[in-house]
Amino acid sequence: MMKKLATREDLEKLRKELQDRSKKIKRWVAVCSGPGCHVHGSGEVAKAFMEEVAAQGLEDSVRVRATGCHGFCEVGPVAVIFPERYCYVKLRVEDVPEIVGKTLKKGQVVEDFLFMDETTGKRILYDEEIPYYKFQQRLLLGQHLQIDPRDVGDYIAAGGYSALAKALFDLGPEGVLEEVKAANLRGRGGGGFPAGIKWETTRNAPGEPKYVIVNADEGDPGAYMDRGILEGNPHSVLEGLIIGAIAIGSTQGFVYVRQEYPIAVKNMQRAIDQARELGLLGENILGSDFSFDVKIHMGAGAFVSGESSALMTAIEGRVGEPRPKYIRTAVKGVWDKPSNLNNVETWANVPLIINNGADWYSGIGTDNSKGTKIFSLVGKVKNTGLVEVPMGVSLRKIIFDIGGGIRGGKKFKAVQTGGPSGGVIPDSLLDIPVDYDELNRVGSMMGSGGMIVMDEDTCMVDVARYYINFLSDESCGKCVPCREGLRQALRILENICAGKGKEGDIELLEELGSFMKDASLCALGQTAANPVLSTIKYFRGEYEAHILEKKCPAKVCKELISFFIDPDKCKACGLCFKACPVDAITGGKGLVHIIDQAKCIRCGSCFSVCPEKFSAVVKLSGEPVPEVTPGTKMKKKAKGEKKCKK
Amino acid sequence: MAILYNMFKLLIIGQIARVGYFSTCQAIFLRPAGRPPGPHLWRHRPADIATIVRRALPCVCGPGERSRIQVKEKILWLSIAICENVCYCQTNDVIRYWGKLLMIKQKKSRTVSIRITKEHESMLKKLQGVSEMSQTDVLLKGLEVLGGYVGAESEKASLGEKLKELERAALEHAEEIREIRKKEDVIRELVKELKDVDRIIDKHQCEPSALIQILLEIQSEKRWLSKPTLIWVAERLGVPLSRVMHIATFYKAFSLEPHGRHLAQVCLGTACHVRGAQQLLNKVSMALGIRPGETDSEMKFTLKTVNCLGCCALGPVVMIDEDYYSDPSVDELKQIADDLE
Amino acid sequence: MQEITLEIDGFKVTVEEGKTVLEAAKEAGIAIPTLCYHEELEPFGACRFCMVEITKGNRKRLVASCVYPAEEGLVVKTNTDRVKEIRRMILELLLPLAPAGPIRELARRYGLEKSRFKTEDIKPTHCTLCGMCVRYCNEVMKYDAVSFVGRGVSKAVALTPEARDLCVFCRKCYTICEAGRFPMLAEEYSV
Repeated sequence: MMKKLATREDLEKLRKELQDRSKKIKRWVAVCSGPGCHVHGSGEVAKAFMEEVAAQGLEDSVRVRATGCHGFCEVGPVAVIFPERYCYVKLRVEDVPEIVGKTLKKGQVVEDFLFMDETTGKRILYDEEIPYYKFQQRLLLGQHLQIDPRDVGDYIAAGGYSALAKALFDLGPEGVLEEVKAANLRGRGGGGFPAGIKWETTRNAPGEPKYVIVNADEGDPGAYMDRGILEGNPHSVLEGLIIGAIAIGSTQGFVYVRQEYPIAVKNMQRAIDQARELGLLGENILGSDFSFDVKIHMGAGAFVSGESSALMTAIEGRVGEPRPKYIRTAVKGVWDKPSNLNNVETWANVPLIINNGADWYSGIGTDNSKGTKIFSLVGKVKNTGLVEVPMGVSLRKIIFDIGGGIRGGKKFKAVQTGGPSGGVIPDSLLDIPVDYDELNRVGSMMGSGGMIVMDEDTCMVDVARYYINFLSDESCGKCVPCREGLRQALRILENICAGKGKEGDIELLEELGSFMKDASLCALGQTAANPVLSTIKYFRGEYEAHILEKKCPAKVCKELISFFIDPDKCKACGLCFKACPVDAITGGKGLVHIIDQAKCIRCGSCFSVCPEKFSAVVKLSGEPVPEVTPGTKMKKKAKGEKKCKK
Repeated sequence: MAILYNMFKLLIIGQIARVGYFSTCQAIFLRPAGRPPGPHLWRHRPADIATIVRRALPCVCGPGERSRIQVKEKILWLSIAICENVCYCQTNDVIRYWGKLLMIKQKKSRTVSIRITKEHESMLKKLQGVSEMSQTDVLLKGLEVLGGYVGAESEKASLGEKLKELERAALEHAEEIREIRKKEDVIRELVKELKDVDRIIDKHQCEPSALIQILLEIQSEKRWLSKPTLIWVAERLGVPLSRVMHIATFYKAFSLEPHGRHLAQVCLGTACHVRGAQQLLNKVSMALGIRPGETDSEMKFTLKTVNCLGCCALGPVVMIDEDYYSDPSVDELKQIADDLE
Repeated sequence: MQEITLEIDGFKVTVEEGKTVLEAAKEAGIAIPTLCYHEELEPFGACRFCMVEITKGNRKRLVASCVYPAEEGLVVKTNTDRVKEIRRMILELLLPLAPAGPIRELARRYGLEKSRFKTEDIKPTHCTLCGMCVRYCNEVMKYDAVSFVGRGVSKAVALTPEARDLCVFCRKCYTICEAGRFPMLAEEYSV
């Protein structure tokens, strides 16, 4: 139980105490427990660390922290050992005793667990020298390494809530507003609207009480930045929210989290409880006359509820449909009161701005987009994970220098940004700097920061179909352009993917797209056609191949491909024979396996089980399947080859 | 059973203002739609009475019987007594009762009437237990009593000769009663379930704005939203049932069918999609032997698809209960499924 | 109450503050076609048929006139080519769902005989989900018996069996239904 902090001095005293206490600790280890590492079993690894530290009697000098996401999910579980910053990757529970015995106890490095650079073949000692981290500027994610998200003490020791004190006692509401406006912080949720101006609108709007809201309804498929922050450093979001409340003059805040993120909900709830206990929330915060409290509201699974007016209706306990009124939620939001909504990442940036000043912050980034932005770099890229870079870095740098290029030596095709509202960006535009305006210019958008990399095996028509399918299910279905437009666009795209496309379909899709943009009620409908329009813009040829030649160049669309076993390569191993769920494969010992095309359901099981060294199963599209006589003997030559290798 | 069910339905919809009970006979007093529960008999519009009667009695009347029900303009209030298969309906001037296949109109002087007499009052008070219970508790207790058929001997006298005769006749149908006893267990279950729901609603101080949060909590506790639950939530929060239904069908998190003991969710987010989520879905479907959206016959697994689990770096991902698995094979999946109870 | 002057199709119109563009146009005798608007109900903004082009300063925009508030100096055009295109497209999208009745008539007036879109897999429900029945039941009659269920392309109007007990058979929803098919489309939605 912590004592309530009655004044600013109390907070500083507590911070000093906590820092003094941690001076006794010689080494500490930050085991990543982010969403990626968690799947790889970091929970067990962290537990093993704690047990092993206790077993070796190091409790007084070593501290184990299960922290939020470090970012490099691909090589999880990751652990960084301080103060040296040795970075160990792909840890297993068995590795822990050695690390505790050598590194934590004596400061020796265990080479085997270090990250190995594939291009140079060298092991890399420190986390910041790993290429994945080297090109990043981790203002927000970097904090995660220092903090156990369950412990408010860690956050305070690392300088937490000093921005709140500064905002309360030094700057005052106007000062905070000026600072945020000067820093030109733009909303990280998608639109990129300047946060300071939005705050001012809410502040000046008539009506009491005013509300401040954290939008953590991260519905974009392929994006998990907000989850990373909420799970890894909930106090930074909370501190930002309180500072925003000071500037706006709000007394009640909401955190709208989607229920699919149970750990985020738990960590945020704990953070709120701790802050309340310390007097950082509630009546007369830190002895000032400012009072503020926060409530968590769980989203029940609707993408459209990320739209600001829909989110506010959901908070009121009604169906989360967007409002048709042309009045901004900053003026009339929750219960028709002025309400300011910002994304998780936007709020997390606020304490940084207050602590370091607007000048420092606006020194990062480009002319119109300031600060850093977190992206979730996923898809067919080699190094997946969360990436935080200053605005203005080129896409090429993110995908190739940080992401390490495409996995499996394939060719890059496109990158999708901005979720279902964004678009695809082809190879030729990889050198554009990543900021709000540039991405809009090329027909995509920043969105919340999902970056899905696609290689030559990704069919762009299928990607468009995927997004439209997603949206037709997630749209609220209220307005005609969005509901009926999506229904018809999906039908057209499904037909194209099934080889039933007609000439004129592309033009019809374009017409539908521009109609939806103009006529839809909310942002979801207005931007819903972006995935279609941008794929048509940059990959028209692929659409035409589907429609005219009945061919899927990337060999993805089920109806347009067939699987075929190359008789010259088949080793009659029987793997595909066993894997086939519909018994479409015939063959026997020493006989070439043959797929019965009439029975084949094109599930791809044979393709994925055929050993890579044989690669006998191939996909064909737009060409006839060659006939193979049943009973053909397996080629002997190949067998000899195999022997030679041995 | 049909009677019991219908009564139960009316009771929890809240159209019933009070419940009186006799050994094998219940009297219900109907409340007009949209009015708050209260202690007095409600004045109904004739049209409303017609509606209510039409709804409440189909199980009592034989097919085609309904058309014979006539509602006169003068009718202002009504109460219904149901004794096994016979339903008695009392209004301000005419008292009718419907037997299994017959409808007899009788003059007031010769009727079987259940009025709100002093005995009834005292009985209801008994039910309210020194009147300290909340309206909810009274209704719930009423339900329990319905299920339990607790008899109050003294009330029998007020039923009149005709009723007693019929009651005796009904009692002879021992088989039927045994059937009813079975259903009583179902009702007790429901009462238990609704008590849990009540606890959650009370936690949120009965706030209508907390509707979604309440439903989420019920969903995570019960794994689905049953019909009585939805009706009960609507009644307690004073939110129209139609709105509750819209919310329950609008959000993905809610299920209107019972889930299996374990939930397998295959992520179909973009990152997983480009890395072969469809194939993973096929594999999971194969390993569990159910298609997406289905539950197996043993109620062990439910397979669902979700739009993003936020594990995009590891796609394709399947989440089984609390654990995530990155692209497991069919054999691994079968192993995981077998390891779970 | 303050008065506001705006320009609709070249006519100067003066209305009270708080009125929508649609109401202002009506007062001036300019008809803007609608599908989901009803005087007794809160504007819904769902059919988008009442879209008009507005010019405010230098910015041109397309807005739904039933919800857009009349503003001083606003220039409204109710019949530009783009507006007509949008209305045609709305009708074209609705035609497969409502191949006969008022939508068909309206489509003919807009010179539309055949829709390029088809929904062979879906039975024509004739329901455009304008929500009149739902809103009338909720806002005016206050019975809350009719409701929407589902979302996205599977959204529908329903009388759920449980909510039926709230219905008093006033049949207002029957008469208010533009398509005149209410009993057909409000299928039983089984929970």
